[in-house]
Amino acid sequence: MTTGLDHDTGAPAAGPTGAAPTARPAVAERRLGDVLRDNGTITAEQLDAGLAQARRVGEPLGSVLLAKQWITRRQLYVALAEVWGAEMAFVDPVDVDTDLAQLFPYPMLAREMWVPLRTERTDDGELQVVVASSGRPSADVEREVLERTGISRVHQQVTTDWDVQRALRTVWRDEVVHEAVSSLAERRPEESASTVFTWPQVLSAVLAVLAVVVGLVLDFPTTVVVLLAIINVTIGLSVGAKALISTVGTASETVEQVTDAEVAALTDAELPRYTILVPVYKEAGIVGLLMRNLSALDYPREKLEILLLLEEDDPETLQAALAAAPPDIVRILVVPHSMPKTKPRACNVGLSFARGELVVIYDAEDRPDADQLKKSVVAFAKGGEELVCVQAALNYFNAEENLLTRMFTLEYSSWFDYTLPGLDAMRLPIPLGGTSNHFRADMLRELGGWDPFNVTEDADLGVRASARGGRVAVVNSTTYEEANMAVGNWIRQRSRWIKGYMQTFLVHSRHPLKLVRAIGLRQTIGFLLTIGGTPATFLLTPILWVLFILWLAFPHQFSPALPPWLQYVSLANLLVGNGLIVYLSLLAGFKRRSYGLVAYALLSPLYWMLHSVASYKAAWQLVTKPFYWEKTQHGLTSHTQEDGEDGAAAVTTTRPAELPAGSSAASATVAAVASAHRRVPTAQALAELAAPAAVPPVAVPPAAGAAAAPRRDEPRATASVPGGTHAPVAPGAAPPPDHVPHPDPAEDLMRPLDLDDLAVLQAELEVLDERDLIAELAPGLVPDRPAAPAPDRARERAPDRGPDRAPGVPPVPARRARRPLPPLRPVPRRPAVDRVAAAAVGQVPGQLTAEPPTRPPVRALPAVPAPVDRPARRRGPLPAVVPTRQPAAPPAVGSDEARPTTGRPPVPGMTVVRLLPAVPAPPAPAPTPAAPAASRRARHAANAAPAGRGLLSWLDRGPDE
Amino acid sequence: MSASLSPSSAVPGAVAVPGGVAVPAAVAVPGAVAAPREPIRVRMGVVLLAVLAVLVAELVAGVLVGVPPHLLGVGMCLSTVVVFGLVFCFGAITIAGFAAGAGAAGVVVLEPGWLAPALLALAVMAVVCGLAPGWARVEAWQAVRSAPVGEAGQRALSSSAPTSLPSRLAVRWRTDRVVAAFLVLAFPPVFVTAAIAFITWTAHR
Repeated sequence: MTTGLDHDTGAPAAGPTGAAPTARPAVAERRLGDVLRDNGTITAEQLDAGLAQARRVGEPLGSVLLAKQWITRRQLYVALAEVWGAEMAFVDPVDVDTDLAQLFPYPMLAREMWVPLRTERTDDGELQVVVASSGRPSADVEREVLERTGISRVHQQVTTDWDVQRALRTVWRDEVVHEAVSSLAERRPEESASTVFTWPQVLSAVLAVLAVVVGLVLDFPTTVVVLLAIINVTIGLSVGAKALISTVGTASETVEQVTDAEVAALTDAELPRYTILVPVYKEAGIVGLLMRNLSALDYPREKLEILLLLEEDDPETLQAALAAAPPDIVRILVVPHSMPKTKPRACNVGLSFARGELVVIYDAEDRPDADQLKKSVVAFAKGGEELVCVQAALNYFNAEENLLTRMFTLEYSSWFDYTLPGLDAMRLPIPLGGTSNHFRADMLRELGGWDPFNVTEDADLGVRASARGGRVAVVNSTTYEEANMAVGNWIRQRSRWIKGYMQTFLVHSRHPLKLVRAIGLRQTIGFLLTIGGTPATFLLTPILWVLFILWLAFPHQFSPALPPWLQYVSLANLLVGNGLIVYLSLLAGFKRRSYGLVAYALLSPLYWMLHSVASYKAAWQLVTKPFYWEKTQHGLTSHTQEDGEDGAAAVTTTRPAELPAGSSAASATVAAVASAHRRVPTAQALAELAAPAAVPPVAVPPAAGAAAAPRRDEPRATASVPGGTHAPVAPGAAPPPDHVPHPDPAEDLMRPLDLDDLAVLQAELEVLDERDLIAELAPGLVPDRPAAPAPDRARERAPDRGPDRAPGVPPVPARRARRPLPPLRPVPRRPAVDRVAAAAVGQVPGQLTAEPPTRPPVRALPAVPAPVDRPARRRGPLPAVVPTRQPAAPPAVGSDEARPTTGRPPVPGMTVVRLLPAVPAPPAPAPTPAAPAASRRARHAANAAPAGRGLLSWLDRGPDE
Repeated sequence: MSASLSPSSAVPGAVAVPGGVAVPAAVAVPGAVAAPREPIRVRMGVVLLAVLAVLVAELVAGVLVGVPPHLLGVGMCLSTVVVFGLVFCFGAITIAGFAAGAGAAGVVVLEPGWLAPALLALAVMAVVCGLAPGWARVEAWQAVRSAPVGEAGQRALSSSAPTSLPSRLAVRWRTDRVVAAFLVLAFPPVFVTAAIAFITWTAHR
């Protein structure tokens, strides 16, 4: 997060790509510390302390000062702009020319941390492209702009890294969502669970069922004997494998993967930057607890980045996050709405903005051991280049809550303390646990991130890593979670896990021979018996129990029907299997020193019957609703509630240092931002470049540029093709079927959304903007809307924001999709100086203009370059991303910063990153070749099917269908 | 959070204790006077080799002397119980309890009438576990490394070093550990005995 800063200047070193900077001033640069001290931002003592700390942790001065909360992010970048002799610009996403933006792929920009802003004509009549970068002005940026636009003149401004990221998330919203959802399914469809069953698998299943039916008809007793034998063999092998693996894993009791001495030997300077992803959904009550839990981590905060991943339709949690007022190292990232709304999708979005070399996932209620991050660092150092992931053990802090939590804790203790170490020791594929997976970020991106269509994306990722030649290991550290304490909640959670195992098994067994070649025979067998054997055992065990009860109740009628050997084998399977389960739980509880739980291990057979119930639910959902994410409700435990209060109280933040009034740097910057150059629409500029003789150099009517560019009403479809490109399809041609199915939209216990609902929801979310959301959540924090909003917008929003809505009830946007859409009109662009100058005099920026602060309309765009066919992978030094607070000056309307006001607790340093909505498209727009994102959105809405995309989805349809 | 997410790598909110181990503030209690000592690290590989050596020696000697195979088996199982039981009690290694219990199961399989004496012997072992210093060390050591610290961990940390033997034993004694240890040790023989009895019953009904 605090990357690539120059040690001398505290600035991003040598430009975004590490190339030699351009436009270096003739005079020697001033040093960052001197600038900050001279303008009164820090004292000389603070500078000395900051330099000492910078040397100690090996981080640039700017990062240290931000981490100590002595300066704000904007103060830092204002100073950096002065150091670099560049202009400072505060980028508002609405200022980004979308035509220009579409020429640049978002992964590249995210990697290099700059954004193109606009094209403009200089006083001498030349075109130039204005870009904003969080790094030093660089020749690489100029080359990139020249390659993509043909304009050789580039004006590079400096902006904060967070401004760059916010602009990326906003302007490239559709690309961000598409990358998070469809990246794996498009690039490696054979590794994605988006296809539930392949045709060979369906054929195999049909043939097997046919064989059984025919066998039952022709020779019933023999068929039953064969089936029972198969069941026994399956259960026997699976239980036997687990017993063997767990026995091997017991050695971990005396083997420490990472010792305390190794952790103590680490110096802060050698620690890598770490990103913590915390996906949270409808868990408002435990955000404060999260802050406290993560605060206990023993890691230099200069090297820590915490991304709190919230969902767009979860204002309660956002409100709680705002109320928790986390410090600068916590960044709230509101994930754009899209389907499937799953944890892996949110994690993929977070991953694309993560700056750490290592990435870990924690749930909101997690309590990791303090030294877990450091232990993972050591484990990676010892684990070799092929080590992709380190999994810490999970356990529960509320084990003593009730019988279910006790049983759950015993099970987790057995799984994470014996089974996973056993898999690690035997070098078998490890299905990762739900949280505390520590990844090498670049390798994770190479793997394609998490599969949003797999409901146990973690288990799938562990197997996928093994299949690609990577390795997953375990580390002797524990994260404590909240055990599920309600049976219904437990069954929902467990059915999702088991369904995910089924998905993972189906995905990776599509090409058995290929799998054997990739990971080896022993590993393949291990995969079959653990990932496939687990749900199989749960499904088949009830049959054995029924058989056993019948055999006990009716010995004389039942015995002659089955051969004695089969009766004894079945009985032995039951006895040995249950005995092993009981004993492993017993040992695991004892090893964890949870002596009070050990006796409950005797009840394990009953507990495992619950698994069978969940497994049948999972099997049904696999067929009917394969992507349905059974949400587990957290925060039920009294432990959490108590601690949450404490945690909320424990969270303290320091008010950011105020920008000195009349600061020379600030005033100089504000003045510098004022540009006398005339802005030129990109389409017009490009057309001018394409035909310079035909287009006059000045005073071009806007219509000329619009005519030169492709018109948005020209029908042109785009099709996703493997490799991540969007190939144009000839007008009139039927678009190829989207091979990425859209999962079940329902995320909670509400009825599944139907097609109309999804379309409406999509439109509504686009209408909502940042300002509205904040205003709904915290009316006191946001000034009133502009006095004269556009009439159509005002009409649309009026029903949603009436005074009759109960307080605390989230806003229900109007069903905008069924109303006439507003006419498409260009949004006049304001120079950034307006906003900054307004901020400087305390004026409410939003009152400068009557324009609603929305994203500019999507207009006709030039051809879009094909997206990169690989996930963005960092090259060279990491770009600069430094935690900071926001300045005291009120930010611009439409920006995503919470504003402290009187009457409410201030929220210093809070940054809410939320994507600005896109202006709705005109009615029934045909996909244009220049707007793949809009095409994708339309296709997404059109294909959004109701719950049940599986084989039996026809059961949900009405009689009319 | 900002207050405790310190720029340095020191454990935030921690209390430094002699010995170099930082105890989280939630764990550190007024009575904490010293960091827990490292647990005893018994090499299970060495133990396994030792047990194998003992068993082989027993086997060779029994064959040479002409001991009946049945008795020889019982003897070997008893040796397993004793060696692993000692490691379990004094080395504080859970898996050794599993091996000891398996040995006891072998004894009762060979001599079904010995179940009661076997359970008695295992109960004695469990009581020893309740007093053995190794377990207290392991618990205290684990308590300072993991977030949820139970009563035992706090007690282990807060306990000042008692001087007299009874007070030392009182500090180490944990009834729940004794019960749990007995379950770990006794489950295999009881389960095997029950399984054999059940199968026998079903075969003769």
